[in-house]
Amino acid sequence: MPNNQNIIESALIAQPIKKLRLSLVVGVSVVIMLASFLFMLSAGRMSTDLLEVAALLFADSETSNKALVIQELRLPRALIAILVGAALSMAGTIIQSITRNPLGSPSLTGVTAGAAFAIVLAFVTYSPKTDILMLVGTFGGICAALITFSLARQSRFDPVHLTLAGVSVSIFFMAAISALMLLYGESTNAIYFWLIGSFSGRTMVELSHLWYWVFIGLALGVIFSPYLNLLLLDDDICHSIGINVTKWRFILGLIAVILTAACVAVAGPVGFIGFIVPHITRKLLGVQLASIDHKILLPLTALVGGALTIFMDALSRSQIIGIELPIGISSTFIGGILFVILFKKRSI
Amino acid sequence: MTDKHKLEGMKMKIKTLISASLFAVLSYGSALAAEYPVIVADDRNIAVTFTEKPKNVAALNIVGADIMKAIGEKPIGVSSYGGEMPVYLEYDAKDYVDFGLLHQPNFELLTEQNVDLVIGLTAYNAPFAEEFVKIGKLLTYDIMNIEDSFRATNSVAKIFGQSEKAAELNDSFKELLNDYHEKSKPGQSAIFMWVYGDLMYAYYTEGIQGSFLQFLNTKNAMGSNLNALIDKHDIARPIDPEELLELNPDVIFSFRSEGNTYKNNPVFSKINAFKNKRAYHVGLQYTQPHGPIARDMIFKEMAHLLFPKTFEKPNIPAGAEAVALKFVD
Repeated sequence: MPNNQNIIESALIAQPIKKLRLSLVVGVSVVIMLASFLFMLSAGRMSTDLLEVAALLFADSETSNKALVIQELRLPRALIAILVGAALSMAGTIIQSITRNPLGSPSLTGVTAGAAFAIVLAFVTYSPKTDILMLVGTFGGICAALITFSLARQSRFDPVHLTLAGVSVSIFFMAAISALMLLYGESTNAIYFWLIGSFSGRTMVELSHLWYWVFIGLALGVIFSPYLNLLLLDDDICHSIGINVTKWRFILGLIAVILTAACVAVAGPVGFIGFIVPHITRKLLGVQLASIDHKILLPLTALVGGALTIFMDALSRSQIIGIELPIGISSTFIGGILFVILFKKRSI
Repeated sequence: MTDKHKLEGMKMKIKTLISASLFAVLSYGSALAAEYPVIVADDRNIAVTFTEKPKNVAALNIVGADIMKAIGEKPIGVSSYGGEMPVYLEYDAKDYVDFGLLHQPNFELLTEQNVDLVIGLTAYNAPFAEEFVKIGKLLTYDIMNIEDSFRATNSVAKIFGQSEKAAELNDSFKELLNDYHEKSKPGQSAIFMWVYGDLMYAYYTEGIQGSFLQFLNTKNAMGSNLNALIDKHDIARPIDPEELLELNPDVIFSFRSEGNTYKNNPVFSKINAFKNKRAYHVGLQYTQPHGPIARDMIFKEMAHLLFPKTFEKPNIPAGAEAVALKFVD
């Protein structure tokens, strides 16, 4: 932690957050998340009312198909949606803060493309089991981000250089994915659908891989959040108060990468959530990028992200447009609209 | 000369006359069969005139290669079939030109091989008709159901003056369908699916695969889709594991596709087809099953898999046979 908390706090031009607003954002998010969660547990081909769902959650899945569906299909999918939404949103907030770039998103570190490349490579070469595939994807994402960081290290992780390095690494891995898909032709059809990003068909196997990465990432993010406040300041100010900017950009960037890589490995590249949710959260709180305490912002972004993501998945599951859209499509669609609205209101 | 000799002489004359007449009729028939120009209309409703028998045929649609083989003809090349040559036709890769993917054929290669006829699939190849006709003639077919199969067989065979052979193939297959229908007992349900990663599709009865189930007195768990009467391409829709569990088919025919969906999802172990080890990965011929050879092979294999005691295992080339779908590695 910083040595001189007073200097740091005075350096930070923090805007006070109105408690009522904060409570409202938390309350509405929790209500949306809970309502969507219950809908996800009860909606599906096998009709189940909420009371039945409660009983089925603890019933023997060996003897009841409905219990099996609730416990092995609907519950993991709902939890994965919340975890992925929370993790990507928090990762997006971290990236936007360390790069001081409101257009920042986790994929700017190359992690998304790297994880996707590792999974495509593993899939076409030896088609491993899901748990292995998850690990391969996660480490692929981390490796790609480490390449980005090593490219940006010479400039002490200067935000512009970090962004450019991330974009370059992403482009490289996207090209490599295209090359693999061309090379392996028809056998990559399954990967094509995975690349859209989806929670469909995810089970306890994926959930058991995801949860610990997300919880570790979320915890580390909150623990180190004071440094995010400082990194929003000018580098010279940071140096003058004894903050090693390079070290903390790297550590916090790595936390964002861990959060993202595990999500991409489980759900595929889910676009826009990591980018748009931090903006929505700040907008709801009525604060700007450089003027908020991340100790509040990070968990709040995770909550809003989790709520928004499970809500979008519930919307998709309800087949409101006749078919179930994968989250990768619905999040980009809804995220795109929200982006335009925020942009029009000059909030970005 | 005795009466007996006269009678023998008469018989000889009659035999000679009959032989000569038969020869004349057959020669005429043969001349008729090979008579050009032949006008063939494809499924774009475009009439294509053939002034002679095509020599270098590219069967981008494998159904075209299948029909040609069934009538004793052969193309110079085919499109790669799921990334490989059509195993069920026992085509040796070295004897045939691989023109690339059905939806992305190699135009340079088609030109280089002096292709004078391309047999394609309407959905994939018709949009590029202008490019194809610069190389040779183009016929495309829009084949989804059993009637389409009969029509395409007649159409392609006509180009080669083999209309009678086509009629014979279609008639014998109709007989086979009826024969097996009588011998098969109702009471089972089955489903046709393909799996791409996490995405599963299942076929309605209106597709040719679904209609085969009807002929085998087996309930298609997916049922019918009336929309297919308006749009014949509407023969399949996405299905999720939960729905599959509810439909609970006794037998699953899954096209060879990738992904670990079956292996990862605990729901599948509860489905009858998996519990009774009657879930199968079927050969690539099931994805373009409308040729006379494929439809015969598929129907007989399905019959055997559904009723192993009633119908013998058909002779299917190695690599094209259905294999048990393993739930666990």
